[in-house]
Amino acid sequence: MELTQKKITNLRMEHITKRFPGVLASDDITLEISEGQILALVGENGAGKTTLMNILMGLYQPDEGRILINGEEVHFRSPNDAFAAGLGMVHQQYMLVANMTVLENIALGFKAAWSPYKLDLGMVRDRITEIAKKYGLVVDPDAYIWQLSVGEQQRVELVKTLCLGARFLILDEPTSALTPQETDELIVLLKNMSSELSIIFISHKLQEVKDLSDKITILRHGAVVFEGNTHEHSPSDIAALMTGHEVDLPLNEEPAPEGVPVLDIKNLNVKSDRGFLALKDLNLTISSGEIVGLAGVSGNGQRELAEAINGLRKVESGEIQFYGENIANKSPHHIIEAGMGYIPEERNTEGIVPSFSLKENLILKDTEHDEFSNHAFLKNKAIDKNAEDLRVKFDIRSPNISIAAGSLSGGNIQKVILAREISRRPKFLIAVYPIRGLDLGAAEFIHKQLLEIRREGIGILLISEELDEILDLSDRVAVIFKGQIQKVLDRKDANRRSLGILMAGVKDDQTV
Amino acid sequence: MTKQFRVLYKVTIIILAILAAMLIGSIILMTIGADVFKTYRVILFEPLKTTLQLTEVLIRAIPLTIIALGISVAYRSGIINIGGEGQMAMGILGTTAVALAFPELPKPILLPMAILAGAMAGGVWGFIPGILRAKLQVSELLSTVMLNYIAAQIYTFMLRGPFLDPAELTMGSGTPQSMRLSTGIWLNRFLKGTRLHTGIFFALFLALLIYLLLWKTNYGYKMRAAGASARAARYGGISVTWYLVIAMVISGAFAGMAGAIEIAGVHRRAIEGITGGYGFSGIVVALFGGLHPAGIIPASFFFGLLIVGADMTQRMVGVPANMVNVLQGVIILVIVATKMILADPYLMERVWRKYQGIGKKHVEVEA
Repeated sequence: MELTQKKITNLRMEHITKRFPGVLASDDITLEISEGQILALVGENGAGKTTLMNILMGLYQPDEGRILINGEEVHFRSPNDAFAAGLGMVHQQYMLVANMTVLENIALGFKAAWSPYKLDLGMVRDRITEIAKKYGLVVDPDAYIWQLSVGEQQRVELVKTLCLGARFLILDEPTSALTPQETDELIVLLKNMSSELSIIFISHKLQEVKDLSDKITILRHGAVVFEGNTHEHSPSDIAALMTGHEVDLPLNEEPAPEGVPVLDIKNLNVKSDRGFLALKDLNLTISSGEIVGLAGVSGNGQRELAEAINGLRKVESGEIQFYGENIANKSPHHIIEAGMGYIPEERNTEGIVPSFSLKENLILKDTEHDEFSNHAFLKNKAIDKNAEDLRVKFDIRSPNISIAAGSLSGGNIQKVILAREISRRPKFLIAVYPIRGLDLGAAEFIHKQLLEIRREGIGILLISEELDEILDLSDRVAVIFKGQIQKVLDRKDANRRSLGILMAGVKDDQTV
Repeated sequence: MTKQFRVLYKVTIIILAILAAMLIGSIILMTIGADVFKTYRVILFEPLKTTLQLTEVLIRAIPLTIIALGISVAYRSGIINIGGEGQMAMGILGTTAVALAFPELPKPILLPMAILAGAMAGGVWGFIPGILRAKLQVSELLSTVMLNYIAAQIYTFMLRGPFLDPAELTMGSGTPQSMRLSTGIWLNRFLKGTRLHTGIFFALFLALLIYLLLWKTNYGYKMRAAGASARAARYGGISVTWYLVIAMVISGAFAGMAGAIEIAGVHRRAIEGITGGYGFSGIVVALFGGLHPAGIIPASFFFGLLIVGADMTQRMVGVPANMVNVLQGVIILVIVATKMILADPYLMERVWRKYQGIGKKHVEVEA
């Protein structure tokens, strides 16, 4: 397909249908977007949003239906064709080479700068400057990717896509890895850019859909269930349409339990990967049957705390008393056997073995137990039954129990982890960002499960950046800042404002 | 996409890969002026013509199978063992030492003892890189290769020193070798007029054992988890470093047993140069066999065929046996490429569309 510079004034996907074995991923979808418009594509995990965009980008071919640009039918046999037509996509996972500079990364795909013996980096640099000026996207061309924050890396992806000639942007969950401030910046940026080009963005977050988009298309089970103009609908209407029922994130409204302290952390010192102390004399006590929310801007020691408690990171000094036993520097196996449950931050690489099947992942921590093994031999029947039961109970959507866990969607992977951790009947649970990147339906489900095990008397340390999540669920809220607990508040004293001040590092007695 | 199509697609890709390998091989053969068709015919079919030749193929396949099984255990556990050659040499020394030390013991005692000694010697040679990797993060690629050199020197030293055949001192055949070992460690040659020995049943038994270990026990589960995702395994309470060491010990022990079986079944004494690249071919066999016992058995037969075929081409067509090593190299490259192709769902998707297109046209034509 030849390269054109024509503006895309109208893009239309008509009656797109795509079948995968056992799944109807796209069911007669039609959508249209005109110049300067921003379309939000929303829906639960597995609703078919990414598939649809992959079809638009030529990664998949539709079984039925056609794509029209400016009224003319186009056929994209590969992403290169879509590219040549002016479509550009920023994926959820950034496609950047970490140990190359921004300039070099962009030059990689910049065909015009390549000649057989020479790479014209000056030309790429000019192009970056031009794009940066046009759209207000500030990037340092000479910075290495590994030096950049996630938000900056995303900006590089945007600049790259635009430099390569995109006149129509597709963004797959652009804010899922960003901090709240970065999200706000991105929204302003995209809003400005929409005067020059059209944008489709995939999102789970109601607020940004409301702030940014002109039109909304909602998908459920591969079909369009709603389309309309954003300003005509309230966020709660949209939320209800997304999940198919009124969303009602559960609240922890019960009185604080009268449990006994079960996890008692005293003067804990732990180093980060880069060698400095990430936790400095941290103290925190959690009782049975209570949820303690750990609020804080990410990077203040949350990860190190979770890993230290679970034996995955060395404790320099201090104690972690767990049901009367000091588990500091014990092996992960020992701590698991002591009754610790852990939902890790990295669900795809740490919480599951991606190439293992669903049923195998569900016994990750229990292969030695009599329930699943008999003199070292695995009991296949018990393993299958366990998986079938949990699949139903935790509403894990997968074609079967033998499918590779890594091929499931993010929400379903999280359900697999949750199912495993909860069904093991732990004495305590550490949940790190349990609903990050999940749709409302899955988030609701996971929150309900957490509240249920709380009722059974299990203590929970909930680590999250989402203040709403913490305020909804916690009995007490601890605020972490630079490796120390700033303050622990009772739920009645915690609100967005009080927490925000503490998270910023100000102790409240200094301000008010 | 239908299931038939998937199978058809994979089979077609594999056939194309074999053809591509043969095509590249024939270009190389042509450059040395060989008769391409005759060479292939001799390599692939000549060894299968007589029982004697066929058994020779099987004899080569036995050590290949055993080594490849061990290598696949290591590979599946996330550590690459290139030290099969050295581990096999150490295994031969261990077996020889026991057989020379206790020549009078009856067979039911001496044979298991000798094989066990071989396994232990190889296991120690696998343990060293394993523990270095686990405790000090020394790359096993480096340590296993270096240990191959050390093992080779020890092997030579032992054969020219302590183990040297006394007859060798007086007669001097030129090839350093040990004394002929006691009949107590001889494996039966059960087919008259051939060298095919009972080691073949031992190899099949080990294949079954590895299958059970890796896929039916919780130890295998943990090893595979450690290899597939070390981070998730650690999270799940699996001691990744521990299983890494275990896997290397098993891998080394298998190479050692391959050596033990080879001298107990075929040579009946330790000879210089006996390992003959089995340790390296074992890696290819393991990968070619998909790191699974069910694949490794046919793969080692195929490579045994190549080895015997190579000898025959040298005699019958005048193509040097080293050419077969070149062909092996080509095969490795083609396997790697084929794996990449098979793992690309987009390509499969595209072929499926073309295939459907053809189908539709046919229907139209028929209509």
